Amino acid sequence: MKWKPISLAARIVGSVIALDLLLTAVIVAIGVFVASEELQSAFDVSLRSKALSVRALVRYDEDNPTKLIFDATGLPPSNDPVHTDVFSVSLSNGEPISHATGWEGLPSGTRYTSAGFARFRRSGVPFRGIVLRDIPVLDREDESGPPAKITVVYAASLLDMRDRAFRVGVYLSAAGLALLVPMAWLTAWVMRRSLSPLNDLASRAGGISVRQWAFDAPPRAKAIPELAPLSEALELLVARLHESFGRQREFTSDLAHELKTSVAIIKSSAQVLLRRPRSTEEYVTGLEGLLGDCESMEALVERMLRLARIEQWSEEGKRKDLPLTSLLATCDAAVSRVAALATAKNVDITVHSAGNPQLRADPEDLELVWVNLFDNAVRHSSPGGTVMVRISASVDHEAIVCVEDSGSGISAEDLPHIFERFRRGGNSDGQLSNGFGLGLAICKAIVEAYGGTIEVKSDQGKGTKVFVRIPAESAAAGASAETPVKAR
Amino acid sequence: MRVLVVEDEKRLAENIARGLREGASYAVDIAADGEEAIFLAESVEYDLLILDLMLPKRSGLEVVKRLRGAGKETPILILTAKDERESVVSLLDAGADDYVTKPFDLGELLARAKALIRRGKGKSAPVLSVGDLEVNTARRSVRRGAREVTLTPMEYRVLEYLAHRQDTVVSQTELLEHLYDYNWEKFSNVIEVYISGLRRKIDDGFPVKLIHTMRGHGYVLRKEAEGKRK
Repeated sequence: MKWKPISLAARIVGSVIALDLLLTAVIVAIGVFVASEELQSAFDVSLRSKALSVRALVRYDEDNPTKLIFDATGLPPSNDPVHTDVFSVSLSNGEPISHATGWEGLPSGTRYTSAGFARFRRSGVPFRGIVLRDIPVLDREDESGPPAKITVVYAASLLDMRDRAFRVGVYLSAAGLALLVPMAWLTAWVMRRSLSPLNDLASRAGGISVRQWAFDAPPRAKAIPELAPLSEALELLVARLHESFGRQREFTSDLAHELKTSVAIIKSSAQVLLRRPRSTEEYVTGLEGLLGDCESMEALVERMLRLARIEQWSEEGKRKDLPLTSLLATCDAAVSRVAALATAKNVDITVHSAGNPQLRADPEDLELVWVNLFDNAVRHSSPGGTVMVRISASVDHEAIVCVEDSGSGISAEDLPHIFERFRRGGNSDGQLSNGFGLGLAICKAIVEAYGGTIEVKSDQGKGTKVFVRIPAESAAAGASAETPVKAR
Repeated sequence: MRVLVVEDEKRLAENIARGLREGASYAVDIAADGEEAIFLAESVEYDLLILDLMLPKRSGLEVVKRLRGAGKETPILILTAKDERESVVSLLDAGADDYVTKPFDLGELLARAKALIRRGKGKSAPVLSVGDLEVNTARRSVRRGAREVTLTPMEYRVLEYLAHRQDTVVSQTELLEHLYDYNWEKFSNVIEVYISGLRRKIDDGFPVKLIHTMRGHGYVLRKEAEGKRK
């Protein structure tokens, strides 16, 4: 069985009610106890005075001075008219003088307390009595001989006193319960008031959409210390989402631009060719150019899809079941792929490796990273220059690849933007530095997807160094090897 | 007519240039980034600028603002892949004259280029008339009276330019600048060759001569002979 979730307000109101009940119970208990104590001491005082007044009723007979008589007319009145007070008076030797009608003296089950008090039940009703032993008779006609000593027992019903104590308990409970309703109501009201900034915040947050990104937490919510972190977190979240959404939109717009340009090239190539009759050679050259344009567009689409795929799976988490790949092997493959360009530009590529780090990766992904980096390095090198590739493995299972060229370098203002998509380093010959400005963005996406980092350091005029660090499975240090690719 | 194509996609720039050369007999220079475009446009009197919007170094918008700010009146045709209204509006506001969106139709691009050049010279009709000489810039045909005149591409270029600037004296230097792109060696005597060819084809056999030489100043295409004819 599933519990229905209880609202915050209900929980707090419930707690307040429970606390109030507990408090009432404690107050009632203490109140009743204190009241009982007070009532009992008053009761005892009255018992003692009544017993003494009973003693005063014993006197010597005027006609027979040795005889003791009891004057029953002066008996004190009972507090409880139903369970009337009882008494007994006897001589110290036990000879009875008088007693209340129907009462034979303290019954057998009587419990005595130290101060001369006694407790017993009379026909089921609790009684408390006082026993005054060996007290002299007050009224003495002649002074011959010591006065007789008598014992007086006086007892009264406890019911009245208990009723009073009970009433105190009832009053206190009633007061506690009477407070319960306004307290619960007040708590609920305060809760609702306190939660209203939260509702404001929720409704404000509910207004966020793709079209409506503006989100300012209501000042009321921000002013409350408990809600301030939530408001700030929400604002930050929305700002980040907005930014990422904006980047996505920018990407789509850039993508559209690139695709339209690509289509424009193909279309214009075909239209130029068709504008007038041409020789077979011209058609062949034109069609070859057209094919090249198609291949460029294919490459663009392929790069974009790869970038999208990499970014997707870097968001979804690492891929499993990846083969153990030799970093050196992928580097060598990449070197052979840019060899033609290197030859054309008369640039050497030298791979220097200390160790052969292995990592779990798709070899194609790694190769793409190196191809992009080497291609960039070669393009930016001056003829006769060298591109140095250094592979090393650090102790903490990290493969480091450094690609260094001695080319023109990147200006300080361009450096922070080189990983942006479709960013084109403007180079002097007016040629695109690397296809569609996606190369470095792809490198970054791949390296980051494998949990690595990519960093570029550049001195304008001196050259550029690109550092790639990727976590490696094993970084077994092997003999250092050099693979120079002569391109002359 | 001499046109500057500013486009960083090399293939696209070449295609446009080829289309302009083959389809309109224009001399075409290519610039691959905004800075080169500004440099060229400020040092050469172009009759038209075809300008891509997204360029390295300086954006198309910056180029437009810079040239218009420097008082250049050259018509500017924008190539854009963006179809956001704002960017088109801001470009036109900055002083661009027209735009085509990528992927465009080459024929349309040429037609718009011709129209912009005509309007840049203060003419709206595609057919330029000087007396009974008609130069149809759309069809690139020339007619004198009832006679169809066949010209070489270079002769046509010279005549079209003179027709656009009719009644104005055009110097050899101006002709050279507007008729050749940077890939050509420039020799002023080449112009004299074309002028004499044009005279033979247009003026010979007609009592009213249209092509006049202003010695020391240049050439003028007009109906009435005001100066001395060489």
